[in-house]
Amino acid sequence: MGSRAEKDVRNVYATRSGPARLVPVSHRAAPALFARSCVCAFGVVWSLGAHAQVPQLAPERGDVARADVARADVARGDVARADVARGDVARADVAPVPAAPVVWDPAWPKFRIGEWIAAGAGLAALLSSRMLAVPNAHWQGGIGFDEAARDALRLHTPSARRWARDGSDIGITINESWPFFDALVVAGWYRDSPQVGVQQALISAEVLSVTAGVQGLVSLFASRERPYGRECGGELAEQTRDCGARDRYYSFYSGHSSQSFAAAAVNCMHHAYVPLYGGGAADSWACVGSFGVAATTALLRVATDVHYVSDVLVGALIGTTTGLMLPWALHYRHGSGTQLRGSTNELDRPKLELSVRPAFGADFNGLYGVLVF
Amino acid sequence: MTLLPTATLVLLHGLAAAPLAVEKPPAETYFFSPSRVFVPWSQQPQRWFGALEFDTGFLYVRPRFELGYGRPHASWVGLELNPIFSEEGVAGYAGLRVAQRFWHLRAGGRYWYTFHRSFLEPRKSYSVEDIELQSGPDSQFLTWEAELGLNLPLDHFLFGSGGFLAEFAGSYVTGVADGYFVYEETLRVVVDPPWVWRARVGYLWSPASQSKEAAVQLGPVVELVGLPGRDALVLRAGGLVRITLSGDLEARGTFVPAVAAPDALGMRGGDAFLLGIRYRWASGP
Repeated sequence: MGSRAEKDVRNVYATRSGPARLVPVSHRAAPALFARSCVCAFGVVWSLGAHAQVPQLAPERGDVARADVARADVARGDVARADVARGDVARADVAPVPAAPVVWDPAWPKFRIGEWIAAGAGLAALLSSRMLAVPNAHWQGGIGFDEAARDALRLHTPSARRWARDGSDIGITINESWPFFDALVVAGWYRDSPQVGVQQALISAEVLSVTAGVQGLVSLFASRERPYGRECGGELAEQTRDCGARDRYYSFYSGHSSQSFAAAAVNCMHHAYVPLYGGGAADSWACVGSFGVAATTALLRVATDVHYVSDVLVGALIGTTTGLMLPWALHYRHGSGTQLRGSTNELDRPKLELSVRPAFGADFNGLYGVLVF
Repeated sequence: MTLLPTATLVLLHGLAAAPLAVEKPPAETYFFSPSRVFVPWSQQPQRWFGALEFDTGFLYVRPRFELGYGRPHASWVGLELNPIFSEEGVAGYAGLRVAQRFWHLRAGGRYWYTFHRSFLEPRKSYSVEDIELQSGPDSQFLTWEAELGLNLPLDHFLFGSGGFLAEFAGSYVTGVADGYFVYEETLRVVVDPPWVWRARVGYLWSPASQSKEAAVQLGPVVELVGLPGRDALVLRAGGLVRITLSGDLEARGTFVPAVAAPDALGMRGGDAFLLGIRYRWASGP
């Protein structure tokens, strides 16, 4: 197969994303594209602005078959027939179907045996962290701005803190369930693409399992006392579960935060590569929403006095990194990237940049994270 | 206390006013094996079978194993085993169940072994901190329970097709140290043993009867839990959502917090916020 044929194979993949809406991006437009791709929220920046052009992907059964025919035609050098097939898909795409199926790019590896092992290892690590003996020496107190943040954010009454804790439990429940809901209900049932749903659900489970395992072990060995620990024997009875159980020394780092941010990040990755909500703003808002829930959950963990700010920041950073990098490195990076915009243009490929930068000013000194898509 | 008679009247009115629904079009395939044709549970041949109903979500795992004769997950009689794993502890339920199309009856015992809780010193009211005090004997107890459930599909009634749900259950809690109360983990109430009763009524509504949206059901639920030993009632209200993804998989959401209760238990005072899936499997054809 020559270079032209190779190019056309890529274009046939592109038909799955709807070539009728291809919008080549020029280099002159790149700065605007970059600017459009940045949104700040809790130091995390997210945008899928260019994603607004994402068309419906070809149906999983019928049109994929047509695309496969086209690919086979290209392989035989019959580019013209392939173009006809592309045209069919494009025409079908002119009138979007609300519940059009979505596809799993054949270039994206499916969930592999090594990932089953990784997910199992994560769970095993989590269970081990709950059964191994807690170290005798404990890390106590805050670092940096922890104490100042505690004074500012900690709710003052036990009932308010209890409500905040319930709120954080609801937050993590929403965020942990969100990627599975989108995978099984939206992709699997609503869009009639169960194979996509199963793959995304497995990836999400892997991310959350690995995140939980790492967090469990780190919090066991760090053995940091939770902020409320200083109140045990005073405001809090020593016989309460909070004070008497080993859970008192699992402060660093926050499991709720790392899990919520990991779930948000993997949710974003799924929406970035597969237009589960139809593409465009809807998928962008899924991402923004899940990060919003994660940030709220993290904030509530500080307000309810079970974590320091440093606990939730580290949890958020590790969770976000895991949630972005695992699905990208093991699956989505292998594709042409065209599922994002229906283009083979190099500039259109999904970009992932994550950096932590210092900031100094009159009102704020600290770190902020930047995530650029 | 007027809720129960009112709900019963509404239920009877619904039965009289609306014809029984025609069964919805069956889901066509298995979720994880889309190439296999799924025969609805209620239309499968009667047989001896082993079956599994697997509920999971954040953060619970509740498999239920069934051994019996009939149409699994539809109309059958047999034994059910239900281990429970949660953050609070582990439990095991074993009992008998008779299930028919519109009702089920079950009776059995559930043993709870909690990780962190103790039996509770008697009080008028409890907070979350109170039920987590580890000052009494460890909380391990056995609850005998019997439950009658009704599931009455109604077509073209109350804004479209749907169905009434009702459950009436009585529980007898044993194994609690003398002079103590216990936080019953399944019912999510503080009990002065031994007696507790529960009644739940609800209406699940489908936005459509034939299209794909027929797989979505949602509606309100009201639940009353009686605590005779404490001379108190717990009222819970909220909603349920169910989406039948395929013949063997269902997404479920439950939001039934306590709205009036002698205790302030927050999310531990009801099925406050549960999201999960239910997978069904059975041996046989």
